[in-house]
Formats: sequence, C-alpha cells, structure tokens
Amino acid sequence: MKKLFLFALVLMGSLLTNPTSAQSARYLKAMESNLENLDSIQQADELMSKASQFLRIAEAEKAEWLPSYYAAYCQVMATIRVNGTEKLDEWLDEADKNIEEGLKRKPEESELLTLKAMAAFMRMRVNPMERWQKYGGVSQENLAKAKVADPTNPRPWMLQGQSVLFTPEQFGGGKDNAMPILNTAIDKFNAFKPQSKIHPQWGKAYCESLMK
Amino acid sequence: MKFFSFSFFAGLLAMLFTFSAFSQSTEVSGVVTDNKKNPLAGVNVFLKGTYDGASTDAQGKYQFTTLDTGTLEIVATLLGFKDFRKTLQLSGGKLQLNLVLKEKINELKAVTISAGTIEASDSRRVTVLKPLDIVTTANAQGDIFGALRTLPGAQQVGEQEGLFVRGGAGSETKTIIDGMVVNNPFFSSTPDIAQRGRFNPFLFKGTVFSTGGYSAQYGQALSSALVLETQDMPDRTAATYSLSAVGLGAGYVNLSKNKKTAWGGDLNYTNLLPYMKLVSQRQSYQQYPEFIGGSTFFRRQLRKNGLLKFYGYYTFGHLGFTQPRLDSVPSNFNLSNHNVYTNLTYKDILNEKWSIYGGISYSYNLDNIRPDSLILGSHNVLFQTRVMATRIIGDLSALRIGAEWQQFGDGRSFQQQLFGGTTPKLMQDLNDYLTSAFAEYDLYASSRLVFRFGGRYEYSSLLARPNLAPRVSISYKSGANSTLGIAYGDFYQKPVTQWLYDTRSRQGFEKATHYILNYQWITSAYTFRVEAYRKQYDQLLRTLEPQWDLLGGGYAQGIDVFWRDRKTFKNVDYWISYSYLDTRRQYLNYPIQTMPTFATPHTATLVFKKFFTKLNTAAGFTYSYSTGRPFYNPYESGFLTGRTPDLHNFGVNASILKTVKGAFCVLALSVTNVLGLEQVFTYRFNSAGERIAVGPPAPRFFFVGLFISVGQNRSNEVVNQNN
Repeated sequence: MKKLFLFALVLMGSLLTNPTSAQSARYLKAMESNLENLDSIQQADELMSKASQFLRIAEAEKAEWLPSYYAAYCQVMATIRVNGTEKLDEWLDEADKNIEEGLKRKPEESELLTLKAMAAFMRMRVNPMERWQKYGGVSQENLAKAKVADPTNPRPWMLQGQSVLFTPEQFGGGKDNAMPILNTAIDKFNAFKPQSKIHPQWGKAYCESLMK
Repeated sequence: MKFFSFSFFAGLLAMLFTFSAFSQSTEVSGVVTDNKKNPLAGVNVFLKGTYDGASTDAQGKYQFTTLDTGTLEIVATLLGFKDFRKTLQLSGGKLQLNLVLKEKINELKAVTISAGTIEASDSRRVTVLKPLDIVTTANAQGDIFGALRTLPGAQQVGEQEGLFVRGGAGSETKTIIDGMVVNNPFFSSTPDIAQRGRFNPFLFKGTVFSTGGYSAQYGQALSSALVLETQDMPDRTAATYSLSAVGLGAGYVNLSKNKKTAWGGDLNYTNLLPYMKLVSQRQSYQQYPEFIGGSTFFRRQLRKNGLLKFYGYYTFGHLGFTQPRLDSVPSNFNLSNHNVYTNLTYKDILNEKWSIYGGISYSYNLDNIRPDSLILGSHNVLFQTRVMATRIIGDLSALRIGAEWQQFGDGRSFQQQLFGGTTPKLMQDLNDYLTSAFAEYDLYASSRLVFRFGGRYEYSSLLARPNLAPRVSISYKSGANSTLGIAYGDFYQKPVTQWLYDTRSRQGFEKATHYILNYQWITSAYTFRVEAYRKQYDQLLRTLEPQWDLLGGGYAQGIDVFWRDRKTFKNVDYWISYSYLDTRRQYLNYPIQTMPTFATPHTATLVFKKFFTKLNTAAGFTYSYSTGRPFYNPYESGFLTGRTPDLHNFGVNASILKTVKGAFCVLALSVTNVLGLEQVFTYRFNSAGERIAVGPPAPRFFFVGLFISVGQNRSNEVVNQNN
C-alpha cells in the first residue's frame, strides 16, 4: 500500500508538473510563430496588432520577459512607420509600460534597456528643439546601461552609432564620428549568438545599411 | 492508512485526466464597439491566462478558438479605453459575445478650462506657448514679461514696467511663483524707463498667463494672474556661463546620483557702463546701472511623490542719471535697491484620492531714491503661508480647498536737502494681515464638459473688511481639437499701497467683474484662439481732492485673437496676435471717465521664427504695432484728449547653436527697433508749455551674449568606467 501511495504521488507530481513543461513548448511555439513574419510588417496598425499578440502571451506567461519585450518592440517600430506625431506619445507610453513590465521580470536586461533608449529617442521626434535635452539624456543613459549589462550586445552600439550619424557635425556627429562606433557594432554582431531562437537578434542588416 | 485507498487515487487520477480528455474547442466571436455603437478596430480580445485571442478588424469583429474550458476571464483592451473584463463559462461550441468598451477619461485628452487662460508648459502636450518660446522671441529680450507682451490682451506700454492686461493697470496683474505672490517681480521703477522682470525664464517649467477670469486659488488682482511653476528635477549636473554686452554670470546645477536631490545656484553681475558708453542714451548717467546678485535652489524628492523645493533670490542694484530737461533745471534721479525673494514649498500625492501642498515665502524690498533734493526711502516685507488639499473625485473631477495668510508691511521715509542742510526724517508705515480661504470644484460631466465652481473669501485687517468672490467657468470640447468656454468671476484688490497711507483709501476693496467667451482650436501644428470679454470696474479709488473715495469705476471690453502656425512653412514658426480694446475708467486723479493713458484700441503683433538646420541657427523677428495712447496735456482744456502717434517696433534676433568640445554654446544677438523709427510712449510738458516726447532710452537696444552649458553627462561616466 505504501509503495502504491508513493507511486501515486510520483504520478500525480508528474501530472501536475507536466502541464508547465507542455506549456513551455507551447510558449516557444507561439513565440516562434508570432516572430515568423515580424520583420515583413510595414503597416503601423499591423505592428500594433502584432504587439497585442505578444501582450496576450505576456499576460499568460508572467515569468517571461520576451513577450513584453516584443510587444514594446512592435509599438516602438509602429511609431517609426506612422505619419505625423499625434499618436506618438500615446504609443510610446504603452511601449514604456511594457518595457518596465519586462524589467520587472528580468531586471537590468540589456535588450530591454536598449529598447528603452530607442523609445526615448523616438519621443524627440514630437518636438526636437524642446525634447532633445531630456530624452536625449534618457536615451544616452540607457544605452550606456545596456552596454554594461551585456557587453556582447551589438544593438546599443548600433543605436549609438545611428544617433551620432544623424547628429550634425557641429554637435560632434557625422559619419567620421559614427563609423568607429558602427564598426564596433558590426564586430559585436558577427560574434553575437542569441540565447535561443526567440531571443532578439535583429539589426545587423540595418547596421550595414547605415555604414554605406 | 486505509483511508487513502487505491480507489481514492484512481478517482483522483481519473478526474485529472478528464480535464484534458474532455477538452474541446470553443469558437468565440463578436463585435466590439464603443458606447455609441461605433465599431472599434485594433482591440485586443483574449482569454486571460491563455494565448488565445484576436485583434478586431476595421468592422470591430473578432474571432478565435480556444481549447480551454471551464471558468475563464475574457479581457478586451484598447488604448484610450477602459479594460473590459468578464467571466465566461466555456464548454465547447460557439460563443457569440459582443463587447462594449467605455472610453477612458484621460487627463491629457479631457477638456480643460480655456477661457482667459494662456498656458505655456511642458506638462500638457498641446499649448499656446512653450517655455523655450520665451527666450527665442525677438523684442522679448529674454524677459518673460517681454514675451507675454506678444500675446493678445497685453498692451504695449514702453515707459513703465508691468503687464497691462485688457484695460487694466500694471498693478492689476499679480505674479505668482509656486503658489506664492511675488511683490516686486520687476527691477525697481525708474522714471520713463520700463524695467525687466527679475526672474530667469529657464527657472520655470510652466507659465499660465491668465488674461481674466482666473482661478479662485488666487486673489488680489483685478485683471490678470501670471502663475509660474519652477522646474522639478534638472536633467543632469551642469555648469553654465554667460558673457554678454551688459554683464556676466555663472551657474551650477547638481543632480545627485539617485536623482532624488538637486541643488545649485547662480551669480550674476551686470554693468551697463561699457554698453552705454558705446550706445548713447537719452539720459546722462552719473552712476551707470550696476546689479549684482544671485539665486540658489534646493529640491528634494521625499517619499514616492513628494517634492520639497526651496528657491532664494537676492539682488543689489544702483543707478543714477540726469533726465532730459523738462524745465531749465535738469532733474536728477538716483536709486539703490536691495531685493530678496524666498520660497519654500512642499507638494505630495498622498494616494489616488488626495494630494497636498504647503508653502511659506518671505520677501523684502528696499529702495533708496533720490530725485533731485529729495531723499525717499521705501521698503516692503511680505511673509506668506499657503496650504491646499486636493481631493480627486471619480476619474477627473477634483475639489481643491485652501487657505492663505499674508502679512504685509510697508514703510516709507522722506527727507529733503534744503539750504545745505537736511530736513528731519518723516517716517510712516502700515501693516496688513490678509487672510484668505478658497474652494474650487472642477466637475467633469463627461470628458468633454467641465464646470468649475469656485469661491474665494478674503479679510484685510487694514481695510477691516472681508470680500467674497464667486468664480464660475465652463468648458466644452466641441470637436476633437476645439473648445468653447465661458467664464464669470468677481475679483477684488486692495487699493495700491502708496494710497493706503491715506485712511480714506481704506474704505474697501476695488472690484472688477469679468465675463469671458472663448473659442479655441489647437492641434500640434496650429493654434487659433479668439476671446471676447467685458470687464466691469467698481469701487475704484479716486484721489482728486476733495473727492477721495472709492466711487470710481469703468469698463473694458474687447476681442483678442491669436493664430499660431508651425507647419505651413518648413522650419518656420510664426504667430499673430491682435487685440481690440474699448475701455474707459474714472480713477485716481481722473476728473471724468475716459480712456486711461495705458490703453489703446488696436494692438497687433507678428512673431516669426525660422530655424536654419544647416547653419544651426534660429533667427526671427517681431513686429508690434499699436495705435496711439492718450496723454495728459495741462495746457489743454480736455482731459486726456491727445493721442500719441502710432507705435511700431520691428526687432530681430538670431541664436547660433554649436557644440565645442562637449560644451553646448549659444550665441544670441538681437536688436530692437531695427529701422530706428521714432517711438513715442507719451508726452511731458514743461512750465513753458513745451512738449517733450518720452520714448525708449535709446532708439535701439543691441544685445550680444554668449551662453555656455557644460553638462556632466552621466552616461559617459558609465561608459568610461567600463571601457
């Protein structure tokens, strides 16, 4: 009887834990299928609905930071695709909210900090003259933190290079100043190994296009 | 042990298996609309805790299938709407579920009180003016008040300082910093030369310029309130240096690593000697204007949302000149001034419902004035305490209740130099304790319609009288970007201090009643604003002996129009303001009701700014025009019947931005009245009956200044440490 009891316990235990590992496979599958066509989306509203897909997963998988990351990524990307600046702050507010949620799940994650810098950078578009000082600072600060959090991550370097490239030469920008940073980014891209299929790995092609 | 029988486990296991074995798919579909039945696209509809869900299409339709069964929560979310949540029992098959989302009343999108209010701040995303606009406007000369004079409602008065709003005298506008009244916002008056405001525009994050019908939170201003809010935490640690044609300065701001504490200050020295040697002035100076002073601040974040702020300001200044001869004897004027302003405030959001504010302020001003043989001393002291509590009701409605205590002291002395000696000093002083209480309720009927009911009670110990001022304002959002507003209010003010030394002036408060109708249309690219008003003046002080009483009065009515466009022309931002004013009053020494010397029927201003991206240069001009103003001619039978010629002022400015070795540099250049047109503010008459025009001290004012900001960029620190 005792043995049977133990057997039952083991069986129950495996039954109870099994759903999670099954879910984890389900999680990977869902993430992979969501990510499949991400790069090909050009429309802002499609990106926003893609963000919704990731948010649904984020809601179900409270321990995972990647769904929040991709939701925010879609929202930031959507602001690049949209004309005008009216929706910009509203969408970036959402993106920031998701980034913060991600950081709650995985503090000091380099990719999330990079995204935070991107969101701040995008906010300057609303009124560059008045916002560069505040959001420029937030952007710089998070890029610096992202580099520290993961020195192998090429994306903060790429974003810094991009920002220098588009800054007028009088302000310390321009191609000559940007190239060394972008070269560092490319070196890091070449060495970069994503942790899994669903971890961030974007940007290399864009970085190369910046260097032309 | 028998209790745990095999059959028990078997049953348990069977139960566990049934969960998955019997699960079958449910198809959930429906339409999502708002409460007006308009379909909503892009709504994220999903079952909480599962991945199952869908986004609605352009028709608001959604559809998804789920394998989960049992009790589940369906959630629908969309930006700008409240989340929808409902518990469902799923057991397979088809489920049709139409959802209605309620609009989230968003503080930033909700209608705000618009009548009488021109706001310049960063906190709201769409405003009439931004703080940076103040320093980049030609003719403003970096002065807050100068920039506000380019807005509708303000008169172009060049011979004295002050904001003359809608037929009101300069004394009818109060300046308020962080809730605290500033008694001496301008440098001390000198005859016929308008003085600048004392405060640096970069000190403030927000400016609310009320041209009428302002909130019950403030009082003692018949016409207008200028509400300034100081910066919260600075962005970074930085040092600033300035060098200009009129002086030099240095400042430092420190932001602690955890960004919870900031402190700093600045020192400024101004001496107009070199400038005035170069550009000849109408007055001949025996003491060139010289000012030395500084300010200091401390800000600290306490608790989660609490912010403690201290600001202290001190400046000493002196000057002395000989005025152009009115009579055969030239007249001398000498002034020395000490000014102190301090302000300590604390505000905190206690919880979702309550926030509090408290503050104390001390200010002191001492003028020693020597016009010719007179020796005049004048000082005033203001000590004030203010508390306010705000209770949020529902999503947006708010009730504010507060009280204020002002202890005001004024003193003056008089001596005369006669026959080589000095007469005995005559001294007078007066004190007033002003106690105020106010309540204001912003009632949102919906996010489109807000009512503001306010009331203010004041008691002055000097006048030994109370007053009770009701204020009402309504705003209606008539379209996505447009607002209609109306406002009504009573406003009381003590007669101007110099007259209060005569006890006959203490018979009561002067009174103004405002009626305002406003329409505005604002997008991020354009602003259009038109406002019609009528202001009734009662109980104005009359000082024409033997009629010394509070039986004066009058009215002001008119239309203010404002248009700003940041889009039509590339890299160009321009605005046009126009004010029509019809006003008459009898007050002070006016024997009849007539248009006062500081008013004119038509005032128009065009401000134009262009940014040359390749040159990193912002350049612009301001053209202001106003019709002539009444002046007093003692040799004419009528009172204030003469009119000065029309006034034109065309000024240009440019700022060049450049980064040199990490230091951010701005070179600013500006010239007022480029064309050198003669400007007549008013006329004075000498005893021979000759007319002398009063204009600016010099036809043009040139300004050249270099501002350098060296920021300590913390991100670089981090990078350097790790490379």
